[in-house]
This record gives sequence, C-alpha cells and structure tokens, in this order.
Amino acid sequence: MPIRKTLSCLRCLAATAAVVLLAGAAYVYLGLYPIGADVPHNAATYWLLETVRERAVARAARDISVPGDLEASARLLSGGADYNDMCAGCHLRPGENQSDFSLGLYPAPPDLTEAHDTHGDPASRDRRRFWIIKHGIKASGMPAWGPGHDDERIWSMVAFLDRLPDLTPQQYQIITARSTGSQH
Amino acid sequence: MKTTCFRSLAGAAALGSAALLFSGIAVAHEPEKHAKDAEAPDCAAMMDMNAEEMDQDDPVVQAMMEQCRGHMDAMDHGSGSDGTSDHAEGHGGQEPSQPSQHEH
Ligand code: HEC
Repeated sequence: MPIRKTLSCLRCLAATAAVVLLAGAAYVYLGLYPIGADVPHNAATYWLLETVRERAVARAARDISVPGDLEASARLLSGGADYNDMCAGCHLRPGENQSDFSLGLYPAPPDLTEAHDTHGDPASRDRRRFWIIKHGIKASGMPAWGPGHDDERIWSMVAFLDRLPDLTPQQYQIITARSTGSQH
Repeated sequence: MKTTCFRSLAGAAALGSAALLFSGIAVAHEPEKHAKDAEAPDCAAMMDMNAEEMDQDDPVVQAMMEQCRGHMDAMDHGSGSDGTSDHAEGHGGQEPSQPSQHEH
C-alpha cells in the first residue's frame, strides 16, 4: 500500500513539473512578461534579483583590500570631479531629488547623496562599492567603469562617496569643479 | 493536497522563468564627458561658510582650499593661500597667517 502511494505521488509530481515547465515556457515565449522599465517587478522576481545581486557582490568583493588613504583630500578631488562628470546624472548631486535617469531607470539608481547605505562596517561598504563601480551590475543601468579607469581612480570615487552625504551644494560645487585656479 | 502541490510548483516555475529573464538586458553606457563643460569652483561661496563648516583638519575643507588656492589671492580673506603645506598648522588653534601684502 505505502509503495503504491509513493509511486502515484511521484507520478503526480513528474506530471505537475512537466505542466509547470510548459506553462513557464509558454509564458516566456508568448511574451507575457511586462518588460518595460516603468512596470516594477513582482515581489518574487524582485527578491530573486536582489538576492542574486547582493550574494554575488558580497562573494566577489570579500577579498579586496581597501587602501589606507581614502580620507586624503586628493582622493576627494579626483573622485569628486569624476563623480560629477560620470555619475551625478544617475546618482544625483546634493540638493537634487531626481533626474531623468533616476526617474526612468529600473532598477532606480540609488541617491548616493543620502546616507542610507546599510552594508555593514565601512570597510565592507567600501569593498562593495569598489566592486560595483569597477564591474557594474548586469541588467541594470549601472555600467562597469573598470574598462576605462584604473583602480586608483575608482578608489578615489569610493572615497568621495564616503563623504558625499555630508556635502552641502556649495561644498560639492567647489570640490567637483574641473577647472581650478591653479594648474597642477 | 494536490492543489497545494500545484501551487508550490507554480511558484517555483514563476521563479524559474524570472531567472530566465535575468539574462542581461543591454543598457547604453553614459558617455564620458570629461571636462567638456568644465566649471570653475565657486570660491566666493567658501568665503561665506561659517567656522563650523571650515574645520581645517577635515579633508573636505582641505580639498576646497586646494581647489581655491589660485583664486584666493584675488580675494580678501585668503586663509591658507600663501603656499604653506597642508600640515603646517599646529594644534594650538592658530589662525592661518593672512597674506601680509595685498596688491588688490
Ligand atoms: C546610467 C545610470 C548610471 C550611471 C551613469 C552610474 N550608475 Fe551607479 N548605479 C546605477 C543603477 C541603476 C544602480 C542600481 C543597480 C541595481 O540596483 O542593481 C547603480 C548602483 C550603484 C552603486 C551601488 C549602490 C548601492 O548601495 O546599492 C554604486 C556604489 C554606484 N552605482 C556608483 C556609481 C558611480 C561611482 C558611478 C560613476 C562612475 C555610477 N554609479 C554611474 C546607475 C548608474
């Protein structure tokens, strides 16, 4: 008796799996998924993507060693100018709340002028940011900047991000301006 | 019994097809526009910052001073503009020396 029950249950499982696979394939090939960036993912997809991203970044970034001079003012100047040129359109400047990119991209670029990074201690936060800036994030608007920028420049951007939430719009303007009074 | 079995499998399938979707949607890179519309630092704004915002040990303040070094000579309250090194100030809270001779 128990054997027959087990068998029939197995058969039931196999049948359901087949049906489900077919349904999934039909869903994909019929083009039913709302792929537009203006329709948010459902909770399951969102959870899946976020978990994949966080686990993958944490694993890839865990052995990166953080330079000891991230507080230096030269880092802020290098990283600040780069941030303003390359990142602020998506990640905003102090005093801004939105841009076309921050409104339209999905996933939305986080507002990096706000101090809401909750990724553990400062060193692991810096490692995580370095990795994301260097390698980017698939299937999001976040590009990999590694191909055109060496690690030092990327670390300077990380250093700048550490201080960005403290900056007033005036301080931001002065630090990120490319053309200085003195050339050096 | 059968329906719950169905439900959990359907959930798994939803996740599975979500994973299929996650295969890489290309997004255009923001082109680098280095220094194309380079702005000068607004050093006059620095003059208006209060003492609290101008802690000399703060790398943010040091960075602003470096940015404005060339501009400061043209201005009246030129703290730290006379070519002293960044670490010249002691702990005694000395005022940075004012440039003694102005041309303007
Ligand atoms: C075209 C828009 C765009 C540009 C330009 C861009 N990013 Fe991003 N960035 C994003 C998006 C979108 C995300 C979120 C990705 C995600 O959630 O999967 C992101 C995520 C990040 C994160 C992770 C934030 C977090 O805490 O989760 C960092 C750090 C970051 N970007 C830094 C930068 C830096 C530095 C630059 C400039 C060199 C830059 N980004 C340029 C769109 C952009």
